[in-house]
Amino acid sequence: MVRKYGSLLIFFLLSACIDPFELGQELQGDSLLVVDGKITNQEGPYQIALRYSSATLDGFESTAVAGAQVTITSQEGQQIILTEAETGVYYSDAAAIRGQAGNTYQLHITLPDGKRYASEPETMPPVTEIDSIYAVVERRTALSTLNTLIDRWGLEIYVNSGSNGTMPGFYRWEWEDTYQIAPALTLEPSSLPGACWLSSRGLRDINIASTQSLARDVVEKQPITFVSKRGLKLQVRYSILVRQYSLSSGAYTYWSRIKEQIEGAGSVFDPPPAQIAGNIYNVDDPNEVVLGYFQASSVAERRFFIRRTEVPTQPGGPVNAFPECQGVGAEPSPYCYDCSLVNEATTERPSFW
Amino acid sequence: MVFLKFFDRLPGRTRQFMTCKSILFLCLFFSLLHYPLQAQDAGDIRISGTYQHTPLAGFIQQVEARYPVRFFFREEWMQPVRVSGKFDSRPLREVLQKIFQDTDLSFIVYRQHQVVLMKSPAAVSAALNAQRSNEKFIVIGDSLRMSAQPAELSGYVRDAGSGEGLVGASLYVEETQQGAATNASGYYTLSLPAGNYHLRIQSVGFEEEERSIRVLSNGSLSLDMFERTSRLEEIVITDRAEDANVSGAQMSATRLDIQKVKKLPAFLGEVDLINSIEMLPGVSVAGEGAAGFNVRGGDVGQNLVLLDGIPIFNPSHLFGFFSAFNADMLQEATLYKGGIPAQYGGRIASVLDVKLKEANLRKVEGSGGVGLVSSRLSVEVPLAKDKSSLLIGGRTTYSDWILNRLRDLQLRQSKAYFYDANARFNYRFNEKHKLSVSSYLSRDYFLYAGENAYGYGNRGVSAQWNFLISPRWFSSLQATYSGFDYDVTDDQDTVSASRLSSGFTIAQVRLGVSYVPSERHQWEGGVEASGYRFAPGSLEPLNENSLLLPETLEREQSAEVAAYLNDVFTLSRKLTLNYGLRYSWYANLGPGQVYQYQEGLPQSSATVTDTVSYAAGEPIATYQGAEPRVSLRYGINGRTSVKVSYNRMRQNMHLISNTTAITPTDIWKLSDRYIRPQIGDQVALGYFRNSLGNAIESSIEVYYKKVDNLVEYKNGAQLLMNDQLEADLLSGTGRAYGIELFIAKNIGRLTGWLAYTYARSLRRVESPYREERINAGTFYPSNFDKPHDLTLVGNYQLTRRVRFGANFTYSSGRPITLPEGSYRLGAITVANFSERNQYRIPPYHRLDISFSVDGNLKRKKAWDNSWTFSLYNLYGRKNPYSVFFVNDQIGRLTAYKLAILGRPFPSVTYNFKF
Repeated sequence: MVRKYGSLLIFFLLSACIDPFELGQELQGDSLLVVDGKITNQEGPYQIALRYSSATLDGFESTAVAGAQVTITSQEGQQIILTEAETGVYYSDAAAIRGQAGNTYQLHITLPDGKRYASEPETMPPVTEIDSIYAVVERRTALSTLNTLIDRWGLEIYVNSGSNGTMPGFYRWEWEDTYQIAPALTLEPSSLPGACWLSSRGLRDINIASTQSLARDVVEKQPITFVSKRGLKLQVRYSILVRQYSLSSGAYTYWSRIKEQIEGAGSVFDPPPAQIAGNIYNVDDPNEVVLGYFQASSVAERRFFIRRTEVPTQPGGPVNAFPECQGVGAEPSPYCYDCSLVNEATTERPSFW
Repeated sequence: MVFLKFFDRLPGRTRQFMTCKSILFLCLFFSLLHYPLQAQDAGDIRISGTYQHTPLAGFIQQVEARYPVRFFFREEWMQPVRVSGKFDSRPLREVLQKIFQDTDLSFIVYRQHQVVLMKSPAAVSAALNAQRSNEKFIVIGDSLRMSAQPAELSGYVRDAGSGEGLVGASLYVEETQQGAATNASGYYTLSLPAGNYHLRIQSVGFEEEERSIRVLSNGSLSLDMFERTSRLEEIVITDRAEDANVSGAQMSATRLDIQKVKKLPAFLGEVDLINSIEMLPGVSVAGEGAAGFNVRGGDVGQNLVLLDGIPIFNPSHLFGFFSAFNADMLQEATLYKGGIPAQYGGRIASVLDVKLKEANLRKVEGSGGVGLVSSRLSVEVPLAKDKSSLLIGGRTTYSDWILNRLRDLQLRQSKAYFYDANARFNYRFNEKHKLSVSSYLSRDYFLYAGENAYGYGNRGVSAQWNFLISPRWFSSLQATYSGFDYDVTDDQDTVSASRLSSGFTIAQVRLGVSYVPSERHQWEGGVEASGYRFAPGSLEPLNENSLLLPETLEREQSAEVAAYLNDVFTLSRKLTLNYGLRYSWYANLGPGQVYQYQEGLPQSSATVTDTVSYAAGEPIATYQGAEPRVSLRYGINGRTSVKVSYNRMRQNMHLISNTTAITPTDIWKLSDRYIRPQIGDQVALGYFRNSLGNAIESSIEVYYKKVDNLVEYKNGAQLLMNDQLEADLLSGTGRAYGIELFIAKNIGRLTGWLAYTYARSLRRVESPYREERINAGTFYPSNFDKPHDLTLVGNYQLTRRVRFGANFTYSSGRPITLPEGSYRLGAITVANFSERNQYRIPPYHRLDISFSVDGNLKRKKAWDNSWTFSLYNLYGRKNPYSVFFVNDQIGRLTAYKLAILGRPFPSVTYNFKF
């Protein structure tokens, strides 16, 4: 909340300039075990990914850890065995026991070389329902290349939720949106599809909140994502599925540190970055650094729809989906007539549509 | 007789300018060191050249430029005189006689290299003779009370213009070679056997005075001194006795004259005391525009900053770009890096003692300036002539317009302002009693991207009553109050709209007594009582919609009592011992609640076993200890000395920060049950040498410092609104060592200094538990460990009115933590950082220049003004401020560097005086 320094206070940077920086020094780190996965109260399969961290900065060279034995146990006596379905990624059986809020889970890993790892016990906190999802016409201000402020208008998707309980809650939201598009231009008569669907996921967003300092466990106006009026998403009808995960206090701290690292702008008013410790440790050698977090969350989800006709024209003007197809002179691209030619579009109507 | 005052000038100085003119200052500094003293009389210098109706001023300039001679004169006299003639290796004396033949000017050659031009020679020599003719003595005392015991002579040395006491004026008795200096009130004492003496009085910026005195018995003599009139002489920027660095017992201290500070090129034209301090050896700063400074490997919170005795908690505006002091209102500042006198305590790294000016007691004066960022105005008003006066002034900014020109979205949506105001009132009851009251107020406000608003401010007041008990006993009673507070407002339209506020106050009473029993001892003693109150934080909802639970962390309070005694003992002419002891007793007091943690486990919320409550006034934790201070000076000869010092300091207020630079919301914490006082021990050894009549001042100092109970933070520590702060903090030890080289040229057309420091600052945090160790319990560099630090400062007086200044700084890059690899969590790439501070950003260097044009040189004028043009970061070096990593579209981490002031910044400032 308050320490929202984020990119803040680079303060008086007058003409602060940000340039790519050549590290120029040989960064030599160790390859460390990274554990990434969670158990939820939804139906499985649950997924745990085991990798070694990469010695470079692009993260792709991380090597998968194959052949490990991975088990989730609960203090309540449950045991879930995960099997390696693809290299380094371990899945539970879809029919396995579901996680249950209030239970305390622990992850156990034994590597082929015999090293044993475990997570700290994680108690799965209960989750409250999402009360509402709503969209507000807002602008995102940006700097133009001419150094003037320009506004981009669109819909900010917000979530309200809360149990009105007095226990503090920690939450993380993930989203997945699906939207219907229509061809920008039509040729009569046409055998081309009249409607297509696209999907995207907020894979890199870390939307988290804590109600720790509030009187009630209520989250209001939690921003989820911004949908611009320029672009395809609002052309016909837009839908977003929001998943709300409950977090333990440890998981919340972990994700807020990851968020801080990713969003920090290098201001000297930011805490200097440091290695982020998770909740995994080597059972036999507590000094070994292990990265990642094993999370136990309950999930609430809710879907929200909005039609183009429901999006106010003002402020910000009408939705403009295919500005490039409206041009005079040049021949419009084929996708202006055939929406299935738009990247990743499908003509198959989703089940919930 | 004012025009007959001069002071030591150098032979050969001007000639050097010619040979090195186009080379760097460096050349000058070094060549000057080796320039031999010449014994030749200036009058015998042989002059060659042809002049045709050359103005006298031009002639003198040429002569000065070519021969080792200095002229002293009043510019008004020169106007009508022209020089014509051809001289072929004629002695200067002869040439001058010829030039002055038909004028009312004459000259005398003084101290071999100085030529003083005089008007009305008869009157001058009459005056000179009168001074030397033993006829006009000031008689002190009563012949009936003469005795075999030495008589005591005491009194004030004052500025004749304003009536203010002059601090650090030196008195010298020619016959006995005795010296004395005035104290902070301008008061001096001398002990002399009955007899006739010649007393010389010197103070920087004032004409030297000489008095013939006949001492019969105890008595007082107060002296007025006149300001130097010609701007030429303002070049002199030394303070105290010109050889104080060699002859004084104090080491590792620098007294900065504000006139000197004003001549340095300043960022956006804002004269800045703190930025000037950063140019001294042993002082560094975390980053460009970062608040505070680091002294000899200490952190920012280990500096005690006093303004007329008021502790200032955040001496910076706009997060550190400008210092919180209005330079127009300051008299001087002294920075103690080591050998800290016993009267100071409470911080372990340094003391910066800043003094406000005393307002003119005789006439109304004012000064001010208009710059790009701020404007300032101050006025000195005599309230009762020679008795009482008031100095009042303020400064305010209009930086919003700059924000609106920035190429940064968030900053374009930001607002900022600051102001500060000072006042100093003094009242002189009589020769024995004097009261002065100073106050300080500052406020900063910053609205970031239209969302979060930050405000912080200092406020303080001090009252000091000086009381002269007897000529040998002097006392002062001081009461001070100082407060700092900040608030952060989050005004977004959500359930968590909040306002966080925190504040800190200190109240202190100090009684100090100084006693000078003889020429050989100077005793200083005193007691000091302080009360601290600290509100660590209070979080409240900002409006009715906010669901925020109001929360207030428990207040903390402490009391501290300290006593000190110090003596400067002159064992012999060569040996001076400065020894003292400070003893402090500290108690953290109730009401309060203290968490108890399970033994044998690291402190965390999970290991809390109990909470113990303390009643109001009940001690929660007490700490006490002695702080010895010793320094010894051995004078090898009049120009060279060796000094050694040891001091121990204790600190009970800790600035806790987990950011690289200090932010206003960093918190202060009092020593308590878990956080113990920081204890710093420092030994330093120095070699000091002045040459060319104190014109070149040089020193080498080495030091080693050890600090116990340093406060460090755990990775990911939450410092704000944390009622279990101790669980996020760690205790460590620190060590710092370094060597500081300093060469300054204080006199002449070219002045400046070269400072080089090699220093390390290391820390270690050890614990039986892994989570309480940093870097596995090994020594690691602190955030401000910058081994190499070089500063070169130069000022060149081009003509009497035009001045050119430049400064260059170079320092090693500060340590940072860099990623040594990366890993992915889902689609997010996370950098895996190294252990703390294992890498460095590239070195920092920058050159600034400035150019000043002063108004006319008339002594009496209603309006005096000057223009200063400066260019900060001349060659636009993009010094990396920090390095950070951004996840790009495909989840790759790219390193970027942020340079804050990465281009040249020109500025212009207009200053005026009336």
